[in-house]
Amino acid sequence: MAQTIKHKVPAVVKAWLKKEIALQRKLHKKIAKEMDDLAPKRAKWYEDFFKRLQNPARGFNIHFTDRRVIADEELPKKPRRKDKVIW
Amino acid sequence: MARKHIEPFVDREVPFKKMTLPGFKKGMHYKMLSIDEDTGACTMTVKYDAGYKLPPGMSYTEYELIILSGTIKYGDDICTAGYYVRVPAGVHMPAMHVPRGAMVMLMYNFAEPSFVESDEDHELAMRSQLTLVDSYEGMQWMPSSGAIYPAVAPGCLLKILKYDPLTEALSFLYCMTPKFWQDNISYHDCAEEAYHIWGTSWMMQFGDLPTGGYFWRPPWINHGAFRSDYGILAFGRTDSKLHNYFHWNPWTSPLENRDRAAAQLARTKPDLFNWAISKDGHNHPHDFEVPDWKEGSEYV
Repeated sequence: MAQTIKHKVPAVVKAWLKKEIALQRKLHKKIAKEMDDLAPKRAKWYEDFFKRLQNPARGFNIHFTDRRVIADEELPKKPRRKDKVIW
Repeated sequence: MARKHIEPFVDREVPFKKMTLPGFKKGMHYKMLSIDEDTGACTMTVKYDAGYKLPPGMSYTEYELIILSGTIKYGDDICTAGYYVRVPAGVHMPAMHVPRGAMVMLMYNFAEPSFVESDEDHELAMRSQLTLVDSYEGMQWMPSSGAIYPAVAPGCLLKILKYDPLTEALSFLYCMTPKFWQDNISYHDCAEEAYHIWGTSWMMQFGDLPTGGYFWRPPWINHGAFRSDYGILAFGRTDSKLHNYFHWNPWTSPLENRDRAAAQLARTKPDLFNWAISKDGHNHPHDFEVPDWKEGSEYV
């Protein structure tokens, strides 16, 4: 359900929104770059994650306290495309 | 809600700016965390100077706030850190006074920030939905397994502050105990937003999220595995029902995750799924109990 009462948006508010939206787009680009730069470290984190999934003392969290070990053949293969985490 | 994927963002890294929008008085400062490009809906951390005052008034859109530090007086109500306030569109709040300064997380939900002086409600206001609760002292933690299936691992606890019965959108306080860990990757059909009030947690895609850390994450984006060495206290929200889709492939895209979610829907509700994908374009969801849930509501 819409939760807004119809109203006129003053020009000064429209200008403020335009400025904030432009800044937000810049911030999004900056974060995407920082997260791209993190890729080598993240690749190592993925490897460690797979090791934990195969560790009988840890395993994959299915639901709350339920866990299971993931077999070798169940692990995914890295695709050829670039790893991306910001969308 | 069309907001960019902002994750991670730490508000401590940027300075406050003066709030200059009409209606808001001098002494209010903000950091923009995320903003909807279509509607102007936004989330900010806000600092009120000592002595800040605002007369009685209302907003044209619903807003929520949680007090991070300091005390805010609304008329006779004294609200300290941890107070959560949800003010529906058009509901007027009594005069606001911040005697010694305060920090809040402030969210305007469906339109840009607005403040109109008024000592009475707008004729369309839904006052029954006004919420004012001390989330620290007045509520206790619950495991998420009581509310959500499949659930996050033990040690991540919730206090539900807002539940929208139509969309199942949630606002909640959550915490992770020290040495919390959860080894899976999650995504949801909803957008998700969170702010760390205290503490650092780690996610496999984004690294550490410390105190003051924030994210706005659109639907179907991978996040996790998770851990926290010393625990966290945080505030979170979704814009519709939160379902945890867990898996262990870190390389899937949001489109692949969406397709998987749709496949799950086809398995669990096959008749509804088949009706919804009708190729003739004549299937329109209609709720006989709430016919205007999406369009033509009394508000717009």
